[in-house]
Amino acid sequence: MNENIAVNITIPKEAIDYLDAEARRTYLSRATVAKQLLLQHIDELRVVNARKAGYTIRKIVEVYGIDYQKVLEILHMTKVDADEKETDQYVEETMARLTKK
Amino acid sequence: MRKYLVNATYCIYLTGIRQFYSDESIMTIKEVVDEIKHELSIKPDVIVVTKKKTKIHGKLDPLSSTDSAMVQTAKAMECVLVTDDQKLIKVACQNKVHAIDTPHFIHLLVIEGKWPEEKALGTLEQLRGVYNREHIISKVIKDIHEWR
Repeated sequence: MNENIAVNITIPKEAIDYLDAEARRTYLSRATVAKQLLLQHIDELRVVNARKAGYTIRKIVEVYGIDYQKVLEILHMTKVDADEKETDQYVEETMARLTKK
Repeated sequence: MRKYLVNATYCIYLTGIRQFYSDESIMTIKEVVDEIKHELSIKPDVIVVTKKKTKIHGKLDPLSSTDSAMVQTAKAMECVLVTDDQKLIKVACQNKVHAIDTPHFIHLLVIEGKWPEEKALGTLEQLRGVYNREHIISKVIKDIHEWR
């Protein structure tokens, strides 16, 4: 079971204003909004770093317990997969072989 | 008949935009079907084959057992692996397994006369909003316009 630990942090007023605006918009508490944003950012960092280390999507799901669809969303948002020239070339070569008349 | 072994990315992306396509040439393994059931609460309408074991090489630590099973099965059955996971394509490449991503597979559907161009182009535009590699969508759309 996950253990939850309370933390107190000091952050700039501008950030608090943003959290409060989000809290009003979503009918959640300031603390809940802050927690959601922090956890989302941690997931993003985990996915990006794991991708840079060469992990497959499925391996990331297994290691961090993030939903498969959420990993895909993070890959779309962060564009961490954009630069994969080696595999792009292999896909092109495969297409050329498959479509050879 | 050429056979395609599709990964979860294919099923999730195309189901998400309500354009999932399957025919007798498209198959997957049970583990992928279970993933789709877990993620989307639906059973994808796709042929399920028993996973095969064969020797594969490369850096396998960053792969899960299902990833490894997909590459091994594609290699043993001489299937084209369809996945949008570049890390998996890299291992496929190292093992001389043909591999393409979903946008290129859609282009193949056009070439093989299974999908009309308009449907493929529309699907690719829908896919752009969720896909992990947007520039590939633009590239494949250009390819479809130019392939004839």
